[in-house]
Amino acid sequence: MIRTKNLIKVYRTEEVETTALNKVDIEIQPGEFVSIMGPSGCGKSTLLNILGLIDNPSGGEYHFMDEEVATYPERKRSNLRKHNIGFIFQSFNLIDELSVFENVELPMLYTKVPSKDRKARVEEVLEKMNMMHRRNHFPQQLSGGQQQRVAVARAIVNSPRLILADEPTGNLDSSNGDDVMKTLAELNNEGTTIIMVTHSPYCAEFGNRVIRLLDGQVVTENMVNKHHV
Amino acid sequence: MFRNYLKIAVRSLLKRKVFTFINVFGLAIAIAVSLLLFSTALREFSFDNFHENGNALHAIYFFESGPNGVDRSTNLPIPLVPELLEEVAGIEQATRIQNSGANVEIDDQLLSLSVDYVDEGYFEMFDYEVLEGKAGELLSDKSAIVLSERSAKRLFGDHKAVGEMLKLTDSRGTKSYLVSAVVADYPDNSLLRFGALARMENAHGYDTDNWNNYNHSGYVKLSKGSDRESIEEQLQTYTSKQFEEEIADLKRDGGVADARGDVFALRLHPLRTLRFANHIGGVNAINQVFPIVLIAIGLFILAIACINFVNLTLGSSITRSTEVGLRKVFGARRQQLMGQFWGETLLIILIGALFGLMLVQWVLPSYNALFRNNITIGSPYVWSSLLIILFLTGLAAGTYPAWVLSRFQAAQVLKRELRIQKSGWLRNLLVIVQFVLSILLICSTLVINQQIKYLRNKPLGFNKEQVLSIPIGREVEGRKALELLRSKMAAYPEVLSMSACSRNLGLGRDGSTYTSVVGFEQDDRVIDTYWIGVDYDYVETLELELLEGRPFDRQQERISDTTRAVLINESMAKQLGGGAVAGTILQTDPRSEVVGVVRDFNFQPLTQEIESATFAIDAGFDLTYILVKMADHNIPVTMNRLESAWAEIAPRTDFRASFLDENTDRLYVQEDRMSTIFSIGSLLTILLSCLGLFAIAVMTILQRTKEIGIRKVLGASVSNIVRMLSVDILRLVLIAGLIAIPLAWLAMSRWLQDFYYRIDMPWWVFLLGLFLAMFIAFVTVSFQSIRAALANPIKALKHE
Repeated sequence: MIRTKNLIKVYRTEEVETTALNKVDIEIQPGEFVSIMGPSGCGKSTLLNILGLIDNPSGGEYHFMDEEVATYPERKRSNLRKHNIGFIFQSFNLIDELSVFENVELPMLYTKVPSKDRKARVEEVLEKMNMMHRRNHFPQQLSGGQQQRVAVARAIVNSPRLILADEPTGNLDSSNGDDVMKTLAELNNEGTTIIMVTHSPYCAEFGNRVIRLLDGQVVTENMVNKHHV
Repeated sequence: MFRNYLKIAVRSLLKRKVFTFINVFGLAIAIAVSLLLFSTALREFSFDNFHENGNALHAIYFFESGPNGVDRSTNLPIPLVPELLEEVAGIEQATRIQNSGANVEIDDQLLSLSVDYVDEGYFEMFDYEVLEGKAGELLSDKSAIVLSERSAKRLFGDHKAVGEMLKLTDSRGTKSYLVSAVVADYPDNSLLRFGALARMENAHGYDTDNWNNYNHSGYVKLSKGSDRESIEEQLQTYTSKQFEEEIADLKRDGGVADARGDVFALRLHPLRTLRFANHIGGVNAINQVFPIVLIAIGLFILAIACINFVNLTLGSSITRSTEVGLRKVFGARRQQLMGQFWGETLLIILIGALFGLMLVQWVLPSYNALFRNNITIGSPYVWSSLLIILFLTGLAAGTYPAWVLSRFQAAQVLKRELRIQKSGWLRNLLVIVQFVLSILLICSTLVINQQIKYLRNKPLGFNKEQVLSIPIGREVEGRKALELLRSKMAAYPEVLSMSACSRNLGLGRDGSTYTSVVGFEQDDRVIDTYWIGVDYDYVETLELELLEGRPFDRQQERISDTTRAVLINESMAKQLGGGAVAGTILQTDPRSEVVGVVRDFNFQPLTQEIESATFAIDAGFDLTYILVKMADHNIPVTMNRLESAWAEIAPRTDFRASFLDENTDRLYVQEDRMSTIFSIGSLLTILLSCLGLFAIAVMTILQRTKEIGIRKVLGASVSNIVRMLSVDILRLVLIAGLIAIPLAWLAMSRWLQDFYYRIDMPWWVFLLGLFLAMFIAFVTVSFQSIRAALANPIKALKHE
């Protein structure tokens, strides 16, 4: 599903040049649950943004679903992204001015889902995330765990093949964190490919492979021995 | 999707109530003010643009470049227009128009009717709509009269007017006309509005051979394919033959040819811009600068409101960045996002426009009274102005913020790496622009008010406070009215003296002016002088200063005083060569003798230099105003006595007396309006600019909360903090002042050029303007900074 070769990302400011990713080669098959780990500033989030087609690499190849997308213009990336990828962030990134229902509905507005189908689908995922009773609340009225459940609902509402999660439990207590991880594992069991950035070895164990980054390079790749699930 | 946009727009507006209020309030005021000003200006630009042949219609005027400067006049001699129609190829149709008036007696009531005497060609040139009668034969009969709808209603009520006889009475007697048609009133944006039209042959002094009587205006319609320039060339050939003598005289007297090589010419002025042709002396003409100034002030105020909007939107753009980033992640394209933010701007503008329209509706009556307009909220001027304003505002306020907001990169936003500049150069630039406009208007207002004060208080050389001027009207002949009033008031010592004149001083409540210029040859030079018909006691009544000779004298029964004697002013004496001129015989027709010289007084508006004037007890001149000098006590009683005496003398003519100081004030109505608009304009620009500053202060303080806290912990005093927060803003206002003051100086010097009598540019006004702006800005900003400086620093640091 995903294959990168010599992936490079360099940030330039007037004075400094920082290499965030240095010749990263990875391959991820459909249905995998991959955790990316490493110390702060090692390039995890940068890699996730590039894999999620939010950012362009400075060099190298990136094959997404058999297409070479490294040099795609924003328009084409955006098309691929909205139909195939769901995002979950550490800080939830819900829009304060929209209700739970409207936040979850938002991605479908850009994939042109008819209004009736949208309503049914939003209700379905909210039901699944156990947030139906909060559908008319606004993000500020919810706890962190509830907000992240809404964010997960939003990530899966378009039934993406790939979910990218950037430290999804970083802002949650352990019990809420556990719930989110269980949901991700469940989605993975249903066939969704998941790539997750995390600091927590505990969370990484929910996946089946761990990629470790250091200074923008892949240092190790290990399979996980599953014992939680 | 649209509903989603609308929801998010409304919710973000409600979330930031202060900023939303500032935006909506500012836009509402700006839209209301510019709507009124633009509508007024559009009306001015729309004069007579409804005639189908509009582009082909022109007024004829004489151009004369004499030794004393250029003179233009639309008064034409009677045989001219028919001759032009015959001799100049390319003139397809022409008409003369002589404005006049008469009284009509209907059911024992005396009604005045304004009558224009015109040629038959009139109806082939101008658009009109026949309501009664047959088009095509409106004035085919010499004794036919065409009434406007309003006149017909006034004279005949709801009865049919066509076929009725009308007896018109004026100073020459009574004449009967048959109403041949009723036509729809011209809209109020026409210079050609009339009460009734009759054939030119019926006009006062109509004589097809008299080339010396310049008493009417003329219009031509050019044929298809001919343009003004080519016709004017032909007119040059024509004038060089027909006015050979005048041209030779002018050249002999030192007339200087203009850029086109003419000392004397017949020229055309397009009807469509006649409204602005104040140089050719139209009574209804206005300076074109006036509507342009209106538009400029409207644009200033709009610009300031838009700048507030842009600054507030950009300043708080960080709050929308997550949304932009997310929408991009979910597949929104840049254009979509720009559209969304543009839509939000439009929503605020529309809300502002709604309140603006309510405001317009509320102030419209007083506004119309000020401008003598009758703009209604449904008028096309208002709606076309509104469209222009919405378009301009949407463009100015919407474009840049939409561009900036939609520019946020999803990756940066989501990584929380977004940096918003704390004080962008753009924000500073926009604040400077706002204050340039504000200071420009404040300084201009102060200069205009100084000049108007000067006009009001300048001694004019005659007593304007105690002298009453009474328009005589047409019911009783002027001299007779004067004699009757003199005898009725003789018993009252409060009436100090009484006289009359053919030319009012200033503008009376009748709104009329009458001007007569006489030219004659004296010692081989052409002398032009205003010729003013007067009566005995003119000098005493106005308290003119006699420099030489004597006033008119009835005691000694000098019969010649009513036929030969004239008084002249100093300027006229100078034209005659200066020195002792009493006793000079003027080569007028018939000859006259100068018996006295009075010191120059301002019988014209102060925009003009005092010119030559000659005063005569001339039976050929109708006296149209009675002048009464009153003692300064018991004025109301004297007024009542005059009014009841007047009711006996002319029972059907209103007593519309006014003091001369009111009359001279009335000359500066245009300047007064200008001053009112500038005052309101500068008040609003400074108010809106400060509203913007206030919001900027709020935002800056929010952004610098942590810094303020740290500084306080380290020992900064309240005044240190206030100074730190205010000094940046005050620097911007100072820069704005340095830009605005030279501009205001330049603009006001230009404006003052229009006045012959004007103040020296008061330099202190500019310092005052700058000081006011800085003071108001400081108060606005310090209100917020003091609050921030007094806050507990721990709170500020916790905020982080």
